Amino acid sequence: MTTDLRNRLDDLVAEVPDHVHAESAVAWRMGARRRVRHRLVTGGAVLAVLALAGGVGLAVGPVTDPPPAHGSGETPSLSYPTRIERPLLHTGTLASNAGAIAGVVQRPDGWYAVGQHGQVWHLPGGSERGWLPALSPDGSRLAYVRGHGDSPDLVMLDLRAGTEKSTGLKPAFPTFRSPLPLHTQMFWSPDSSKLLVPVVPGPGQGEPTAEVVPVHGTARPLTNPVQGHVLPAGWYDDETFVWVAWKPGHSGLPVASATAILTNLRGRVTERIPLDMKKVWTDPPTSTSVSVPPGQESLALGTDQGPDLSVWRFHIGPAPSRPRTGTEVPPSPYGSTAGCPASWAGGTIELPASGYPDTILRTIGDEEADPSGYGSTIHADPRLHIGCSVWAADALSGTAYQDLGARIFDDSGRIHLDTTSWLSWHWRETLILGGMGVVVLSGVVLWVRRRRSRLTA
Amino acid sequence: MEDFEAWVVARRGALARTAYLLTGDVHLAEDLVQETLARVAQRWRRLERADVHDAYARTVMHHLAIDRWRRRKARPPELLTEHHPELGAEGPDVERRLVLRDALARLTPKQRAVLSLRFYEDLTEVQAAHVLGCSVNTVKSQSRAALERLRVLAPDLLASLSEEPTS
Repeated sequence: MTTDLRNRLDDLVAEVPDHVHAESAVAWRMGARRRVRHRLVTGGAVLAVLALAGGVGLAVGPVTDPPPAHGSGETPSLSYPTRIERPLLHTGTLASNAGAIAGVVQRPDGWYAVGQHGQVWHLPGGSERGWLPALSPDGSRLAYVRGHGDSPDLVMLDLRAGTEKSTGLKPAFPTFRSPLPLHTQMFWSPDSSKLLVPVVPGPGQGEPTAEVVPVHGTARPLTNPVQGHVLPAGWYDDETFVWVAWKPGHSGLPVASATAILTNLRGRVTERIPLDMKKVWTDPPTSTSVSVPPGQESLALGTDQGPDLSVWRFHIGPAPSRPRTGTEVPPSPYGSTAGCPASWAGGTIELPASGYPDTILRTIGDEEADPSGYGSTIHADPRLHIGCSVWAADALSGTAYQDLGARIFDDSGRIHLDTTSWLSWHWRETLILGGMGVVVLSGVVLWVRRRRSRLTA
Repeated sequence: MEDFEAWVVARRGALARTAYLLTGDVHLAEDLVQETLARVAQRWRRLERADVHDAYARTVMHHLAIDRWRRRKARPPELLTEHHPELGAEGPDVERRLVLRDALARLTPKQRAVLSLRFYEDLTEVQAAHVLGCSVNTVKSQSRAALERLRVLAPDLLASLSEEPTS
């Protein structure tokens, strides 16, 4: 049958070549023109894509900063993220050699480390029962209480070397005395080589003691310099520690005056500096916290009274005037996180904030150190439910790292959308879902078109 | 360019015959051949390196024929200004040629393409499916439908075609 039909088709088209004229020269010219046009269109498309990418890159700015040094042993130029976005899929655990980090934040299920570029890692078993993790000023060493119940253990991580040191210390719980801060703090020395830890008093000891734990070597006990109400405040320098003592009012908290006591590493008092708050309280404060910026001659004393926070700043360096009168810092419109101590960027007070949407850290009024009035502001995805946060002083003094979201949505971003808008925290999910929608829609359209073509054929 | 001209001279007749089978019209066949040659010329060097001119030309021509039919509603019908001699209207078996030509004209472009590839170019079902970019089953069904339609349209002419060829 094949041969038969073939013969009949051959017979039908036998005369066709005599009537169909094809010009090879014309076809060649057409082909050459199309080749050129195809190359021009392809080149133009490539250039357009490159121009578009370049335009976006220029508009948004570079988004791929060099990663933090991992275990390099060198001091990196620290930075802090202006935004902390919720990890899209999975939150990893902080690796012991993650390199210097910018801060640690408290979420309802525990503490999390925050990288210089806004990465979030879980801190396993981190700091139960009101103990704040302590981050060294250079962000490379982290101390936190692991375990809970009757067997808490103080762990010191060297995030550059990737080493972990279990001190075997049983830190004192914040209930060890009254009045009390809501959190109990540990303090790194300005050179990040020593950690001061309040510990459980030994048998027969009436007053709480502290231990100075060096990174290398054994811990040394440190007794309180005076009897009575004393809070550790921080390091004046690498060899001098600052305490704040006061005569309590009827609430047990410092009311109008206190004393900064400087001691050496053996606990010997080297200087007493009276501090005058010039404040008359109508209601007693509910908690208090004190802190000293690493290597600075300042001391901040904050008291919470309900939602209101009062912060006094004292100069504790050499000066003729005694007592030192504190400067009350204007109240922050961003509110405060109760009992959460201030962080420091050089001499600027950085206050954990709770009163403004998505803001977890904000510089409070310090026009001398921050004439622009902007200072450091860190926003976080409200879905992270971040409460207290502790930041490395060197990181807050470093450059502000803006990720892609910050470059688009922050107040200084190119698109100028509201930082706290719904889209600013859901833009990645929106993009992914939008892309998937476009892909699915394209697939449906193609399927319908093909099906229609088949039916028509 | 010389190689291309030599190839055109060698393949022009076969391309014209296939184009006529696909279109059923001399003018349309001429357009189809010219467009096919332009497509081949556009990629001539690449085709020359791979030595696949014929296969590429065959594929392009069949796709163009089917695409032209798909776009037929978007284009106004062409008005021919020059009368063209009716092919196959002279010589022996005139009636049989005219009946076959009219029957072919009433097939769909895809059926004509399958018929051309299977019964004129002598390709296997697999090769035909590769040229048309469809499945072998589609080639089989289109081939069967084309033969059935030819038997209906030209019963006397194709009465002897009782069996479908196998690959």
